[in-house]
Amino acid sequence: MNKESVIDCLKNIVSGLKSENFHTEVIYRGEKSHLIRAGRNQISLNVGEEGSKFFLNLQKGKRFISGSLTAKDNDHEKVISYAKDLATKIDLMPEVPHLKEPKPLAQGLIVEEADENLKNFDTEVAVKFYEDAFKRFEKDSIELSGAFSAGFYNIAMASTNSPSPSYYEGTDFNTELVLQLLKDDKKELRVSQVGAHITDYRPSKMLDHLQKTMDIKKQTPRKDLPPGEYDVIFHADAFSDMISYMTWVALRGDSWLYQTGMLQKGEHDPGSQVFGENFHLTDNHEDEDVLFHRPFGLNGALKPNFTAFDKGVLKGFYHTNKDTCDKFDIEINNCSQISSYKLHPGNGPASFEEMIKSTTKPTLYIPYIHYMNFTNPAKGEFTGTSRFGTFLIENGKVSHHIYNLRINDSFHSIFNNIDWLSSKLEQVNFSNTYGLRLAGSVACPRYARVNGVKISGSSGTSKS
Amino acid sequence: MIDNEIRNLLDDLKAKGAEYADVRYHTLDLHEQIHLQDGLMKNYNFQDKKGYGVRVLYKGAWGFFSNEDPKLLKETAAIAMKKAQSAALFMQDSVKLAPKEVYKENFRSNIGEDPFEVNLKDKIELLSNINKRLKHERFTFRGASASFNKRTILFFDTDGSEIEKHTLEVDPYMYAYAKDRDGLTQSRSYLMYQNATPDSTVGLENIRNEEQFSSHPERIKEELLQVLDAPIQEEEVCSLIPGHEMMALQTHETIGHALELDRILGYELSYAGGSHVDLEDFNSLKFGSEKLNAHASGTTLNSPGSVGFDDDGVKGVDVLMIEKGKLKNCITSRQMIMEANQKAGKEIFKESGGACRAQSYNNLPIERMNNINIDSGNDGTLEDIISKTENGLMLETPKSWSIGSNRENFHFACEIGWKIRDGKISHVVRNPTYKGDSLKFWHSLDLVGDSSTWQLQQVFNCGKGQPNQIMHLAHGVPICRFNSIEVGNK
Repeated sequence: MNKESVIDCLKNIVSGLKSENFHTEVIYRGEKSHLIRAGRNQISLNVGEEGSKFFLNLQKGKRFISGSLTAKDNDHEKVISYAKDLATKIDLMPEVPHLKEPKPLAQGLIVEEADENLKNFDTEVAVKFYEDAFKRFEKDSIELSGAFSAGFYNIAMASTNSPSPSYYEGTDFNTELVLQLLKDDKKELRVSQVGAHITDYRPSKMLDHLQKTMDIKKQTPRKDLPPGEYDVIFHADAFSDMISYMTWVALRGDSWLYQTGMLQKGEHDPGSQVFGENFHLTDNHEDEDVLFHRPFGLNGALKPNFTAFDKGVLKGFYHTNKDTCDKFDIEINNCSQISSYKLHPGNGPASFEEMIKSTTKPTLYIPYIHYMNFTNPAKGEFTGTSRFGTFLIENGKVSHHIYNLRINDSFHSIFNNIDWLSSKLEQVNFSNTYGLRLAGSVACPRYARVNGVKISGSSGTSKS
Repeated sequence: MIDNEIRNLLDDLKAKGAEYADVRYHTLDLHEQIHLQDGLMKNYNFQDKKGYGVRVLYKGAWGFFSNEDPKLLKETAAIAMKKAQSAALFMQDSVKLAPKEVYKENFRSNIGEDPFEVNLKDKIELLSNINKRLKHERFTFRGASASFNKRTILFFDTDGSEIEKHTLEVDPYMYAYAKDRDGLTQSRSYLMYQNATPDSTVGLENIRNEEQFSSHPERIKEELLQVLDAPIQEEEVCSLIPGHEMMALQTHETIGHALELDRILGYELSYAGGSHVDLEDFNSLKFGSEKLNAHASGTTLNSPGSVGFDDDGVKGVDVLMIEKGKLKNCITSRQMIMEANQKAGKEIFKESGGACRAQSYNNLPIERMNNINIDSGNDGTLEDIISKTENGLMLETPKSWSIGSNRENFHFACEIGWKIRDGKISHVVRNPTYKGDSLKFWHSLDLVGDSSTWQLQQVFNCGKGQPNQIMHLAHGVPICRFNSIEVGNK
């Protein structure tokens, strides 16, 4: 799983297939992942995996085919043999008239940003985190759960028209801890962290924040709110979830070209004002504020410094897929599967205390959104419920905590009604932590205030 | 040869103090996907995986590690053991496993026409034909795809189980997209149901079968055309008749996930959430109306949820979870029933329901749905149920779904709806949605269709757990009617 072995293997594969009458693109992905999960105040699972896979895209004239296999990173002969087997099927494929000659991939880019401490992660670090948390909160009658993932992954690629492989290796961790307060109506609290290096891991910061929110939960009465429109302060966990969903339904070139997303041709073309002027979203792997610095995508394309929205104005789309690009006569310009989003900060309060103190008129605080999904993607309408500590803030104080609320709104409305954004950024985890590990995070202002958010109900059950 | 290596390895783990260990070895794991769009090949993918996972229970704690290199079996087991040792440092209650019968058996899907044995050209032609028939000048694009999964899995454990499973799954799909009269995109799609009768099989013949799949392009095309010009669904409270695909989703999200025992105990709290069901609810909670009978079945024929034995080595059984509306049992594994009984201080669960499964060799098995089925009733056919409905809405095909963290409420959007007035379908509606509280919803069940309305809906995208695992399963559901449901996107 080391760089030299992977690069040699890719060179041998493309060299071994160069004389064949088809074009071959090879993408290697390797990982070593660990995941520890806690539940019911103990470790519920401690799992790991090590493996490597090769993904092959073959093209012969106007025909193409793809496949994948598990193979060790020094077993180029197995991959070559598999590619030749796959190629025997290519003549059975129907011709795709719009298919163009494959362009070369990004070549010779080598980025190594793995942290040896995470690469050789000792799972006892994670076990200790949950044990320490339990000792600290045990007296409060809690049920503790969470997950801690850490690992190493590498991605490399080459093709018969770009024989010099590009290679990336990195590490990441992400951890979350949830407390259920058994004697306080089973209220739930959550804290999380994501990082690229073990030095980003600060367990005491997480536990201190939990303590703070637990005190509020215990000291304030519960209240049920009727449906209606409310001013809301979202924590970065909730706001970045909305950003992530919005990018999926708005920024993929496929969804724009086929018109399956929320942006409509003629109304939301590049250059048009889609969101409010305080909405500035970028994907720049060279930005110091982002955690992961990958210069190429899983499709082999170079990752440019990409601005998605500049003061709310749509700047462009991710054109990732070769078939779609060939069909619509567009160049591949990026890869949406690997991103490093940053929503640029504003001038709003940056600490929890400041945020509470500065809020005078009744405002909801929503730290997290559970199970978000689209109700009407064409209009960017979505739903989801608040979770892990929804508060009502009045006169600079938390006055009540609220049952989980169902939000029923649209991204157009939310991102056009941002009152303010925090001046500080928070990293929020969006990683695939296992089974083709791929780290991801969104750098998002710690808090975002949005006016007039539509709430359609709350979470009472009706047992009989 | 590998069998002996695994037996020796398990003996060795036991000698080193493992209370229990098992090895799941995927000696064959093939996936083929063919996707045609607008008559052209959109994607063809063939995956060939092999690998194994070793699970060790040591000092009452689990450790698990997986690898793909058969030469590293011993090293992989050693890492699994080490992980169990570190997990054991923070345990309140040791993991205990309920007794089980030990089997040395094979399980085979009842395979008809094996797609992996069929010429690729024939499979492409089959989908190409569907694709052609979906064509219409108003449609922006349309397509048809099929995925085939074939696996051979060895399962050996320290109890002496030696099980070999050979499974096949067939998952075809068709769709069409078009702009509606407001210029917004609408879609209609169809996922094939599976026949669960003793004379039916799993294989390509299901895709060729008119009733199951090959006659549906014309219906999908016609329905999409109706949606494009249909009025937006109005907000109101009325009777609801979910079609089979919606009924499967409703069952999945508000019965299936709510009744996973690990979830009820709190093991999913940090991610997927908990359940509104507590241990004291068993044998007392009225989950739904008298007409509701629900099972977690590992024996439904030809289903991706029936794999003979779960990944604890427990043989598939049929568990009655809800009887005449009353909660009796749930989706269980060897570990969780022991924990639940201990926590409750009484025996709620007598034996594992055989529902502990892993997505693949690199995952630890957890409680998963197998076939969460609703019994058919005595309220006649779909036509009979429509004729008894004064003001209602029939809905079909999930477009999106969002569920409360304790599965206590939900909000679903669908591709198409049919307004029912005075016992007849009056017109199609666009952008239908509905929502409700789970228990209130199941209590509003007032009509259950007869056996002619029962259908086995396959599900290939059920996500759960950390690390997230995608599971394949099914729901056998009849046509039902629910009263006083909030519809419309308020």
